[in-house]
Amino acid sequence: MSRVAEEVLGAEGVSFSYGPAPALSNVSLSVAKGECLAILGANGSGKSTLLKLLDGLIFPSAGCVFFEGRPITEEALKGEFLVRLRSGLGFLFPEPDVQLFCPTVFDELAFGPLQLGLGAEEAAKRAGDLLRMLGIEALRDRPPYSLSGGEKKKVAIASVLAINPGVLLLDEPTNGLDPRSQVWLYELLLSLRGHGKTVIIATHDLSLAGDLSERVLVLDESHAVAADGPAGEILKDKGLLLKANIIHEHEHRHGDVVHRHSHGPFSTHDEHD
Amino acid sequence: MHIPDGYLSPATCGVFYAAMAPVWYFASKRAEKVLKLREMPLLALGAAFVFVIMMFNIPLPGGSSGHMAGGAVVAIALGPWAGIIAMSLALALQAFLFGDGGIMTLAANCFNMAVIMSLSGYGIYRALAFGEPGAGRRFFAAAVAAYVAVNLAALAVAVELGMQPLLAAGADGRPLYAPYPLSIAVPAMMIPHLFFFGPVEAVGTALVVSYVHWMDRGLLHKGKGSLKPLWIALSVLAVLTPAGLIASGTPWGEWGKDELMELIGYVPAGMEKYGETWKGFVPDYSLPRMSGLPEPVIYMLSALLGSALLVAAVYAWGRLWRR
Amino acid sequence: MAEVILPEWLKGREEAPASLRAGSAGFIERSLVNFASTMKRLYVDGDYSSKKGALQAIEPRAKLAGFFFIIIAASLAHSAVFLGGVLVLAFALSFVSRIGPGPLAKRTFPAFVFTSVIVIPVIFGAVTPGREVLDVFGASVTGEGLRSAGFFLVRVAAMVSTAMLLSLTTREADFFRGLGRFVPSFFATALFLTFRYAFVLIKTAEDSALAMKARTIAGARAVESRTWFAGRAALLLKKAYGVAEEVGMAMVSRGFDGKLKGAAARALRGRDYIWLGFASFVLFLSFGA
Repeated sequence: MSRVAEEVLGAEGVSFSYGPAPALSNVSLSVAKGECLAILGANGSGKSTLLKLLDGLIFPSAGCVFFEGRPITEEALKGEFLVRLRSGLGFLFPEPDVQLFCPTVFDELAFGPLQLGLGAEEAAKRAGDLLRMLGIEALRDRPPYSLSGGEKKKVAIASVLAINPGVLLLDEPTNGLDPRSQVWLYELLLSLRGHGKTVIIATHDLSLAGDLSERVLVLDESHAVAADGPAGEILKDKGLLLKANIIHEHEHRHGDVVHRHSHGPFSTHDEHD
Repeated sequence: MHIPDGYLSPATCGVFYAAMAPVWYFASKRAEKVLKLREMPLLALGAAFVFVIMMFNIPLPGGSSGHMAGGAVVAIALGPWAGIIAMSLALALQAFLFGDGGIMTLAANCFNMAVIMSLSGYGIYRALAFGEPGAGRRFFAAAVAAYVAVNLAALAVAVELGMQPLLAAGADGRPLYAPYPLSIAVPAMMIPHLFFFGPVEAVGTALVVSYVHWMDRGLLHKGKGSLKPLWIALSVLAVLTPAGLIASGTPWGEWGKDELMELIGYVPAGMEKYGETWKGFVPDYSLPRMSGLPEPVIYMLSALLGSALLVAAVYAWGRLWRR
Repeated sequence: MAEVILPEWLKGREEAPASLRAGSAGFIERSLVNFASTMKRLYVDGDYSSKKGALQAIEPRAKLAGFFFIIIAASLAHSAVFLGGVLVLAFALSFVSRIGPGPLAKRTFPAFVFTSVIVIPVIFGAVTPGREVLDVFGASVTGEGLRSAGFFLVRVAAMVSTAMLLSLTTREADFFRGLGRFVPSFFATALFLTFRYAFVLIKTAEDSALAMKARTIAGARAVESRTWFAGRAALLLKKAYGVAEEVGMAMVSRGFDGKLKGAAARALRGRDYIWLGFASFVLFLSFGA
């Protein structure tokens, strides 16, 4: 099958397993340049695995993953293609402690640009710009382990932005952020999108998916694609979301009345009947 | 088990650095090959694991509790080569940042706890837990391996300490470094290890190995591949180490000075009147003017001249380096 | 959705049986003390190393080289006066670097006490024959013995305090950066990662020890304690593998291809040369001492 012209990332019949149990089975998708896609799924549905496959960090046991139309395989991923892919894709890990492995915040921000051969001066400039943009200049020489959870997340995001990737792969970006930082992140992503970045978010945060992305892909508990379509339609399909275990029925007490209705983590109460 | 700074003569420390350098190099190359370079964090996390394991108090039957050294358990978990690197990293971290074990003695500590303990612990475990061992035999194999390994390491420490009075003594015969002869150092090290730290190590290692195997056997090193290079390296080390100790001659304290000066490349070539160490530092032509001065002043001036030359060399090097 | 039905006993309130006496698991307490002191030390060290003292301002490469010179000097020296000088120097430098003698003494103390205990037998005639200066319950203390013991103690104190001064005055980031100039960057980076993730694992260990402490009401039995230890150690190993894999991926995804490209080091300045000159002066002096 020929890949779509505007596609930056794609997957064709991709399966993956860590052990005997599959982590992902027969997943296909295509992401166009400038698109914003949310991958929804319950814990363990394979969201993170799919993102890692798309980033060429692990390789599928069946099927194929494509970057700019070229298959990402262990053999192909070297030389010019490797540099192109690494500088084109930015990956945010859900756990900032994993992502922050350098001695200081500054080193953390300069790491990517240096590794990609941008030179010490450009790396320092980018690090400085990011520190200013995020308002964390005071943290410049602090070791990342001494930061608070929210600060760590900010630095982790900045460390990804430092290589100015065209595509952002974000694994649970709102994890561990307080409400104010969530708004901040939302605005940052919105403005990145406005500048033509492609954003792929793996999340179970329905509001983030709904507000930011025009398209949603749902992974169910059999690790396969349950739905792939416009955000508006899919987020309304209560049956589908319930089946994929993304929302759950929830017991509520309003006065003396006990009633049930479905609930996503951030849905509001106006849907009571 | 960690030898602090000041316990071993600089020559002994030098011998161990010389012995460890190829081991580290070879082990890191091998670890890179086996683990792939992108998995270098595994070595670091293995080291972090030992670092934390050493901080646990392990309750022994009978109510007491103690710490384990961890060399056997990390080798069984990561494999012998990765074990050597991980253990060395943990020891280096303890020495540099926490003052557990010295900086000069780091290579000796690595030799005892990373090389001897990891390799013997791993080898004995593999030999006893061959085939498909049951839970009982695996526990037994890990316990014996750890017990023997920690005692071998302790013995190595004892021998290193016990040799110091033979190797380096002041002009008046008093010891310059660790003061006890072998006849005292060996029993002083071995009795607590045979009766207390050995059992701690055995219980700790066997518990962890059994539990990890029960929980997820995939976490333990598969033990595939030949042990041959391991034994070759061990025997080469075993032959080289005493040979190195003997070969470098009797006056050990002196060896350090001469060697260092050669290393620094300091002694002007063709200096025939080299009898007095310190005159070597002052070129011939400047001596006459100073000869009237008392000896300590000459020492001071020579040292001053030496350090001035060193700084000049570093400065010039830095300039050239930066173009 | 299945309804959660609470068992009856969970709806009431539990009264502790009168016969139960509170106990504690000493080994957990001791482990906890270890974890806590290591963590605390990390943060306290961070404070000292970011003070604006003279030693803190020296370029990491020059500082490391200088400290190594002094440590080697203290290892080579044959003279107690010289070693005493190094010890005094370390404490003098603790003032210049705005740390003060207290923290430095505290760091040097464990090795000093350990060595003091070890060295006690040396002072007696049975180990060091010589002129008797004192009689302690029939055992004679010799002048030679006292001199040997004192000399050994001074050497250990001088070397350990110098090494501790290095760790107190150097930020971890600078330390590993400096080290990377002397040893292959593979080792410097691996050592830094060890340092970095030891604290992630210590946190896990500490949390599980606290969880155990919270549930230990009547003192743990030895068998349970050992099973607990094995379980925690296994958990740590599993976590170590997991984190290692993720960290590897995080490095690769940001362009790590096996070689670390470091930021340029700053050029040596006047004070760096002064420090190098001074430290090498100490080293050269030791050749004759």
